[in-house]
Formats: sequence, C-alpha cells, structure tokens
Amino acid sequence: MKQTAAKGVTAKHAGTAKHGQAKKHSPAQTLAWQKAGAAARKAHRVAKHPAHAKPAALALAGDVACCAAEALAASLRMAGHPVADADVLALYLAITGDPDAGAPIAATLEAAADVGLAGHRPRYEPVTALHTGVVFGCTLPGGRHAATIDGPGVWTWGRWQPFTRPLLADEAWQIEWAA
Amino acid sequence: MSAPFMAGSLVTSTATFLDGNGNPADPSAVTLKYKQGAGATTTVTYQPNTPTSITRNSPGVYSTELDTTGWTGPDNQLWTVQWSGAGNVQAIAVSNWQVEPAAL
Repeated sequence: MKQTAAKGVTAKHAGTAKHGQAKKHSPAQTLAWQKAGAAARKAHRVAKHPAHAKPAALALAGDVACCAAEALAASLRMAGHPVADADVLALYLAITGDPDAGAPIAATLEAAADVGLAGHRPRYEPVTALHTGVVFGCTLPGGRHAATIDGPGVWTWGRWQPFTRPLLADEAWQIEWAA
Repeated sequence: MSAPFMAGSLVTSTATFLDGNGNPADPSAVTLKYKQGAGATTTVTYQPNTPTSITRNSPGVYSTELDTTGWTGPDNQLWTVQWSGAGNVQAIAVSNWQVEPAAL
C-alpha cells in the first residue's frame, strides 16, 4: 500500500501493562494472535520460540512496541540471516526512543535502509498480494500490528502462528535483503 | 520516518482480505470509511457492477484512491482510513497518515 504514517501517528500497541505476566502459557493463547492482540502478546512473553529466545533484559515483545522491526527481522531470518534481539531493538531505537510509541512499517523500512538490520539493508516495494515473505500491517483489538507471512501462518513477535481467523491487511511490503 | 503526503496527492489505499486459512477471499460486503482531520466521516460501500470509488483488483483485494487536494494547513492534516469486511470474511483495519500543505 502506498499509505504511510508518520511517527507517532500509529496507534500504540496493545498491552500497556508492562513486565511479565505470571500466567502460564496455554496453547489456546498462542493460537489466538488474531483474536486478541494484548492476550497474544502476553502469551508471547512467556513462551518464546527456542530459536529466537529473547534475553529478559530486552523483553522486546512485552516492553517495546517494535512489532514492525520484529516483522522485518522475521523477513531477514527467512532469507537465511541471523538477527539478534539487540539488532531489532537498535532498529526500533533508530526511529524512536519511546518504547511505547510504536513505528509504522514504512518508517521501519526506511530506517532499516538507512542504518541496516543485522548488517543488511532492505529493498522494498508495496504489494497487494500476500504471500510468504511479505510483511503486512493489520489492526488487532489493541491497535496496529505488523507480521510476516510464512506459509499457512505468520511470524509475529518472533513466533510462528498459523492462520486461524480472517484477516484484513491494509498494507503489505515485498522485501529483498542485501548486505 | 515516513514523510507526510503533500496536499494534492492521490493516495492509494488497499485492503487485502484473507480467510481463516490465509487465502485471499471476498467478503460478502466491503466498506471503506475515511475522515480528514476532525471532519465528517465518508462511507463508501463496494457494489459489484456499480461504479464506486472502490475497485476490486482481484479476489480479496480492493483499493481506492483518496484525493488530498485542498489542505492548506498550517499544520498537517490527519487522515483516518478504515476498511472492513462482513459476512464471508469479517475483518477490520484502521490506519492513519498525514497530509502536509502544498509548498505554494
């Protein structure tokens, strides 16, 4: 989509309550990322994908509204390149120092083209077809969200979740990565 | 940071609907609502075989062009755009972007 939004315009992401929930992970929560953004994020905080375990000190999914940077990281990982949590956070901080502000996908792509993500820079263009590798934007109950399509599901907050409900993407980006 | 659109730009807004399996699918009804600043909300409903500002590009993919002509500032104008689908694919998305006054 050609739409872009300036920093600070995008609605803040779900979950103003910070710092860990004690509730145990349940499969129902992990499958429900589209059902409730806040609940899904809460689940993500306590059950990380082993390959992308996050240091507690960063706690990106719980404390920083960097879903677009996370989506770009997923895209880069799908291209075969490792991305550390520190890389994701550095990209987000290149856009804003406010952990709650959030950042539009377009702004995150521009920042990645400028400062790089884990040593790689994206070439990108808006698309309408949603397929594997595409980073898209949507609206969850808690606000705007970004994720990356991978087969019959999406990478969101560092975790893969299958499609379970209808989805409306109002922006989508095809990304190619170069060193 | 993304730059605002300059007044006078045609901004293309696209909505892609996926069903519960992640496949493009047409809702039974597609509605677009948008608002410029604090102005009134405009509602457009897609109707097959009837000319509207909404175009169906392919199954599940709809778009419209929004005319930003006329904003003179002095501040940027906030646009709010909401797409929604009902029936076969029920989903909604809301986004915002800004329009800045033209240079001259």
